[in-house]
Amino acid sequence: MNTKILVLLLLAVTFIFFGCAAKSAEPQEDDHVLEATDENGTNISSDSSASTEDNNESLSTEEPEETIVSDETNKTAAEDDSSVEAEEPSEEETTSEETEVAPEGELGTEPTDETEVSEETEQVEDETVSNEANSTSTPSDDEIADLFEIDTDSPVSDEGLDTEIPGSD
Amino acid sequence: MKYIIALLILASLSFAWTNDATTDMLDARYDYMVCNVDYAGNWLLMRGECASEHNVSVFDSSDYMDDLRSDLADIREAADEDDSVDFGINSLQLSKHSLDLLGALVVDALANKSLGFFACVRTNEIHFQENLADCRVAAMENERDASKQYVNNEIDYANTQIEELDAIGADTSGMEAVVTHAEGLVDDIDPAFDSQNPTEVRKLYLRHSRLLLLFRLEKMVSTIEYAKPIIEAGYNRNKEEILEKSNVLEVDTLTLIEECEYSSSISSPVQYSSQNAECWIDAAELFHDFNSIKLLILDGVL
Repeated sequence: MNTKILVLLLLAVTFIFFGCAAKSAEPQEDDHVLEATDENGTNISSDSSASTEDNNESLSTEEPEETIVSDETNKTAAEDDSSVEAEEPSEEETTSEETEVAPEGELGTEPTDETEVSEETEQVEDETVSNEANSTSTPSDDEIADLFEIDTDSPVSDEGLDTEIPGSD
Repeated sequence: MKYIIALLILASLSFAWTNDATTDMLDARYDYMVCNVDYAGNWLLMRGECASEHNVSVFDSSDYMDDLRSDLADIREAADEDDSVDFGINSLQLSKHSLDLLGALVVDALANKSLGFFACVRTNEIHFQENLADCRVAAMENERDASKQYVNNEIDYANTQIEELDAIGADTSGMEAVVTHAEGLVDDIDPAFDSQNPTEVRKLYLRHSRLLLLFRLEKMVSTIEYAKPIIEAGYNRNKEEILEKSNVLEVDTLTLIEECEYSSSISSPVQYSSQNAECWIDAAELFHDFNSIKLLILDGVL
């Protein structure tokens, strides 16, 4: 009898342990979203967001440095940022870095209702669209680097149309 | 990390575009060389017979001919492997051995020869010269077709590069101007070969060499002009160095483009050829600088 209870207890402990582990895995997805946000240039990162207001300002000052970013892309980014600002609960506006990183804090907590979930999904979709817009309009450093390739073959002679062929006369 | 990037760049360059007409061009050039070597062999045999007939001694040319035939075999092998570089190097070797033979002939001609011997050679060589001319015409006919195909392939490839740069918003007007000149070159291929004058054909090659060089230089300018503002607005760690290098390279490239200005009419092939050589030597350094910017950009990202 005691053995059965012990086994049940072990099962319960195992269940609780894996349950917690599954929960702790959720923020990793959020981290990915945060990375996407960074690449997007919306600048919603722990480095630049001393506050959500500052976040908005840094967005407007840093975006022109991304050069060929379309107006529409800017708009999308601004909307994303404002939505993040709107969603952020005022009570959580503390000085700690963790709570200031709005998307991470938002997505890391469990949603309270379906509307919130859909808003977050939209936000992630917007960020993805914005990312795609950026990638098509502004070439990355890798893409620019690829342009710097030129054939270095110099002709052995210039007497053949294939310039490496010398004349036979 | 730099070494890895450099290896990647080398690997990508090793997959450079090759012209589909290269084989035909190499074959045609090989055929032309065979005409010359066959002529030399037959002419030397005939000369030996005249020497026996007129009781004069001539030098032993067998080693010289062995060298020429060995070079031809190497050239054939290079042509079969579509190896333009080897083909060129072996062709230069053939030219050198041909000059060696010519030098030996001049020295031998001054040693104890009779007038009858010279008359015999002059009379009998006419037949061989006619054969040589016919052989060259046939080889040049093949070369004409291969040349047209070769340049047309290059124009297609050039237009592809122009389209790619144009699609991302680069100014490709300089490259387009070179392609227009290349189209003019294609139009001049038939008249040059029809003339059966090797000098006219050589002029085509000289013009082609210049255009090939100018297209690469113009492409570099287009790329630099396009990339500079993007790099300037970006966050690459080597931004300052890239921009400084790009600015210097742009000025140097534009200067070289001006110095190596293209002309469709060539009054002195020797002078034009010499200018081509100088332009290519100067450009080699610029090509190297241009490709090194890629390394700099990638290094600044990592």
